[in-house]
Amino acid sequence: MEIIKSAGVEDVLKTLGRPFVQKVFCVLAAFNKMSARELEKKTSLSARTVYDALTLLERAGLIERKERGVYAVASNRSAKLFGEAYHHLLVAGLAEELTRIMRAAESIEADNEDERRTLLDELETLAKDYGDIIEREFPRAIQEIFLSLSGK
Amino acid sequence: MRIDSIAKKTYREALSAIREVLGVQVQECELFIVEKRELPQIKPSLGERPHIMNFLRGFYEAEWNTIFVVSGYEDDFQTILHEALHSNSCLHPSNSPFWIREGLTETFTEHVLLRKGLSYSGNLLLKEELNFWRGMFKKHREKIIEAYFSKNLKKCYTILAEVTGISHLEKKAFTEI
Repeated sequence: MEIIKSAGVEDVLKTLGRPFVQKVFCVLAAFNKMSARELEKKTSLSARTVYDALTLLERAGLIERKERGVYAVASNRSAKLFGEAYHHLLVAGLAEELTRIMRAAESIEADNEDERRTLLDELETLAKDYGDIIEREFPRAIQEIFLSLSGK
Repeated sequence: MRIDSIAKKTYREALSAIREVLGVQVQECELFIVEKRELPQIKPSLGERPHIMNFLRGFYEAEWNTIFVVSGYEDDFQTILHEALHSNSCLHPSNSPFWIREGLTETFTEHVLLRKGLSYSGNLLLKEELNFWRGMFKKHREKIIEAYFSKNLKKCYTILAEVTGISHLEKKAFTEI
């Protein structure tokens, strides 16, 4: 256990144990590199919270500052492994969410305008926050779900 | 909105590929290039949802028998092929469930692309639906083609019910299959 402790694993796990830090790391891992301002938009966290998360992540060796104001997953092996794991989790979460909307769109009654609007709004939020990742991982998924909903 | 020679060329190549690979007669419809800012005029719900709009590539509007290709995707063969298939089928969003309409269209899109030696960027969200229709297509190729390209919706569903062994499948969600 001492070896694990000295290798910094405990610090990493402790850092990632905080939900707001996880959120920032997850988005950073998916988008490769991003500025603090962009992270605020993508995570809907305050500037202060993003700043705190970045400080903790940097201290734990999980991220590094690339250029002025831009952060990326650090180039060391464990940071890369954690980054990949978080990216996969995000993609799996997106697949689940898109499938839920797709299935709901499938069973929606044509005259249920409220439900249709709710699903379209949910899709809009996903497109806003994760559109680039969705398009890369699930090409045309946003388009097909939208067309299915708008055609009802 | 405008007519575009590159998109027209891509579209004609797509129609020709459908004819060649699937052996069916296909009709040409109208095709326009549309700028993103013009999309809310065609799909009003996009006016309030600009982020969805960013990810539209093209679509077929059955009411106007027209394919709209979003500017920038004039030579996107997969998108235009997919919409060309929709335009020749009686299955549309207003009369068919997503899993049947998109499942079959994706199955044909994939089949035509691969037979033409082109790559297919899979729709991973429809993985199970695609597997279902791929299996059906493998076993009942001619019947599935006949159903999809039929001009008669009732006939289309009758054939699909016959090959799948599922009655009233158009009223069922994929999770019930």
